[in-house]
Amino acid sequence: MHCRRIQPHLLAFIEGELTQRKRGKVALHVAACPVCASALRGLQQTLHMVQVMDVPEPSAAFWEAFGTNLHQRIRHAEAVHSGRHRFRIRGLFLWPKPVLAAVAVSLILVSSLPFLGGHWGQKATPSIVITGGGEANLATDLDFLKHLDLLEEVDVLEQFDTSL
Amino acid sequence: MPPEGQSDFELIDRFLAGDESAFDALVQKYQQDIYRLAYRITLSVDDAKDLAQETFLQAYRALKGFHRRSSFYTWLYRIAVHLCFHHRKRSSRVESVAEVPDTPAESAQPLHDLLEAEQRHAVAMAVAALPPQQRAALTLRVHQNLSYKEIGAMLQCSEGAARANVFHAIQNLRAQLAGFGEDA
Repeated sequence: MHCRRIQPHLLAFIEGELTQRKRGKVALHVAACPVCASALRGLQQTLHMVQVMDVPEPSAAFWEAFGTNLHQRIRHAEAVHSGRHRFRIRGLFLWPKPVLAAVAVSLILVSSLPFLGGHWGQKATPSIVITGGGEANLATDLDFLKHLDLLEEVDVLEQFDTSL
Repeated sequence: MPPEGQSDFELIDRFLAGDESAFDALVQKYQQDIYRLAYRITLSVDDAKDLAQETFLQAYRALKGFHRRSSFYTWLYRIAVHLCFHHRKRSSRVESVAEVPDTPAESAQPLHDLLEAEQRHAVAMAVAALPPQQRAALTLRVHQNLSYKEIGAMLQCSEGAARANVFHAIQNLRAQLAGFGEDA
């Protein structure tokens, strides 16, 4: 086998991800080829340098306060969330009465459209209108949480693969 | 404090039943892992500290929706990786200088230690210079021991692309670190 066909498999060789047959071929080639043997050593050394790379550790005080600070953030996030909710509902009643009346009439008209039949009775396509930063963040969060659900499927697929 | 040896799922059950201390136990168990993961992706101590807290905050809010089709820590890593990438997009800071730990001041082998410190610094700088996707894929593979399928799912790319990211990351590092440790 040529070096250029062997070298793309060297990482998989180190990680033990090759089939027995391929592994044997790569091992045979590396034993006889100084260029690929050097490439293999280089890969192993680079991986080792990354593995032992230092991470600056925060102080003991940071870890001691970690739980307390987290709970403060949780309470703060909950307070902001419920405050925003209250503000939205209360804010409605601060509008001028004529505007409120117009909104109420519009809502009644819109909600009665499906009962009018004909052209007006067509089912409206639901849409989401994102109007501000808070809502945009909420939409991102929801997308992300949905995505988390999808990601969990990966492990199911893995179990399925091994059972084959 | 919860009794030792409880599985993550047992702790989650207790938390969902209203026992907040069970969540604290999960936090204590994984806080350092999450901090290190965040540091290796962002290469900033302050960002990593903040992202570690943010990860658990999001986990706290989303735990009811965790369907247990993966292990808890894999799920937690996914949140952390997502936040690190989201944070990176928001942050306008140039990631040119990695925060490398200080070298010990005194040593019996000063020259050896100096060379080691120089190598550590070079590795940190080389890792900092990697494209973020490659850096994240590399750390998820090398430090968190995740499968390429899991890495692909976390980085929203295919398994093959995750594999290619790790491969190219190592090739880039080899090119930048030529002379350090090679054939020593």
